[in-house]
Amino acid sequence: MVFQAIHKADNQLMRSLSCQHFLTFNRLRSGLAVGSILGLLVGTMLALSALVFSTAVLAQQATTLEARAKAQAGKAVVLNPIKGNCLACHGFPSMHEAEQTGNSGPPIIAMQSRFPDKAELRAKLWDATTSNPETMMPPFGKHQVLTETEIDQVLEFIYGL
Amino acid sequence: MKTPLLALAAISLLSGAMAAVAGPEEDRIKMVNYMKAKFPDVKLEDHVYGALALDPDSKSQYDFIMEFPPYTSQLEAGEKQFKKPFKNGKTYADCLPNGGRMIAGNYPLYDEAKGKVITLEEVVNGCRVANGEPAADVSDDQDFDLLMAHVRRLSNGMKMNIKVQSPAAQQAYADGKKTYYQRIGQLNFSCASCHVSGAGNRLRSELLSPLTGQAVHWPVFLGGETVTSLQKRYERCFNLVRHVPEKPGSTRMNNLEYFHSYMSNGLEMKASVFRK
Repeated sequence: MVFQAIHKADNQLMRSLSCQHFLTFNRLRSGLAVGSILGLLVGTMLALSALVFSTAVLAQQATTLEARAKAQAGKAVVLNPIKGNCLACHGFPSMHEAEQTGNSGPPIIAMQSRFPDKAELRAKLWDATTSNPETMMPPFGKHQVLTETEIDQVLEFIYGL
Repeated sequence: MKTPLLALAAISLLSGAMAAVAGPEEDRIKMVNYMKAKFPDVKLEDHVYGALALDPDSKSQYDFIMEFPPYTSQLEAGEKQFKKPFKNGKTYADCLPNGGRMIAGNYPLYDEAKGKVITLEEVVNGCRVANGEPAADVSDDQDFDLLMAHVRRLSNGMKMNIKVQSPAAQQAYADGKKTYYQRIGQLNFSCASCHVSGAGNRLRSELLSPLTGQAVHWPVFLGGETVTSLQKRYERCFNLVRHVPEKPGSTRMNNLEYFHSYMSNGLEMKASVFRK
C-alpha cells in the first residue's frame, strides 16, 4: 500500500516535470558526481604530491647533509700535510684558515665556473699530468697518494669553493 | 756585400764551434739564460745565495746571522780534525792537492783510471785510508761532515770549475742529468720540477731556489746547527718526494753531484753557510 502510494506520487512528480527539467536535473546530478570524483582525484593528487614533495625535500636534505659531511672530510684531506697537502702549492682565497699558502699551482676558487664538468676536475686530482704533462702536481689517484674515497671527498670540498 | 758574407761565415764557424762543445756547456748556457730571463733583477753571481737571492728580506736576515754564525764551534771542531796529524804524523794537508786549498771547485771530477766520478769527500776519505786510518762512512758521519765543512771553506772564493771531457765522463754527466730531470717517487717530482720551472715559486712559505748556484755553498748548517752535506740534502729531497733514496757516495748520487756542480760552473764557492 505504502509502496504503491509512493510510486503514484513519483509518477505524478515525473509527469509534472517537463522533459527539459528532467534532463537538467540529470546533468546536474552527473555533474555533481563528476565534480566530486574530480575533487577527490585532485585532492588525492595534492595529497600525493605533497607526500612526494616532502619525501623529495627529505631526500634532498639527506643528500645535502651527506655532501656536507663529504666536503668536510675533504677539507681535512686538503689540509693534511701528508695527505692532500694542497696548501703547499695552492692558495685558497675563500678559506680563512688557509695561511701562508704556496703559489706553484693556481688558486682554488670559483671551481664550478672553471670546471663546469665536475668529472674533468676529478681527473685533474687523479692524474693532472694527463691533461698537462708539464704540471708539478702529484698524481694523487694514479700513485695512490689518496684513496678514491678521499679524492671524491676533496672534489666535493673544492667544488664548493 | 762582403761584410754580410763574412758575418755569415763567422756565424757558421761559430755555430760549428758551438756544436763541437754541445752537451754540458750548451746545457749550462741554456740554463743560465733561462734563469736570467726568469729573474732579470738577480745577478748570476748572486745565485750562490740560492733562494735568498730572490728575497731581500730573508737575505738581510741571513747576512745578519752570518756575521756571527751560531755554528762557529762546529766549524772549529772540523778545523781541529783537519789539523790533527794521523798516527803516522802526516796530515790531510800533506795528502790533498795544494794542501787542500782552492781545490773544491774542481770536484766532482771524472777519474779516467777508476772509471767513475770522484767527489771531494771521497778524496778526503782516501787520505785517511792512505795514511792507515779507517775510512769514514760518508753517508752517516757528522764528524766527517764537519771535517768537510772546514775543507770546503779552504776553497771559498775559487770558482766552480767542473770538467766533462771524455765520452765516459759525458756518460756520467748524462746519468746525473737524467736523475735531475727524471720524475720519481710517489709524489712524482723531479729535481727540475721545483728548481728549474718551479724556481722562485713558493711551497707554503718556502721559496724554491734556482738550479744555478745550488752546488757551491755546501755543507750548510740547517737551522744554524745541523751540518748537512749536499748529498744528504739530495737524500732528503728523495725522501720528501717519497722515493727510496740511494746512499750518499753511491754512483747515482755522485753522478748527480757531477751534473749539478757543472751547472754552477763559473760561480764562487761559498761553503759552510746558514740555511733555514
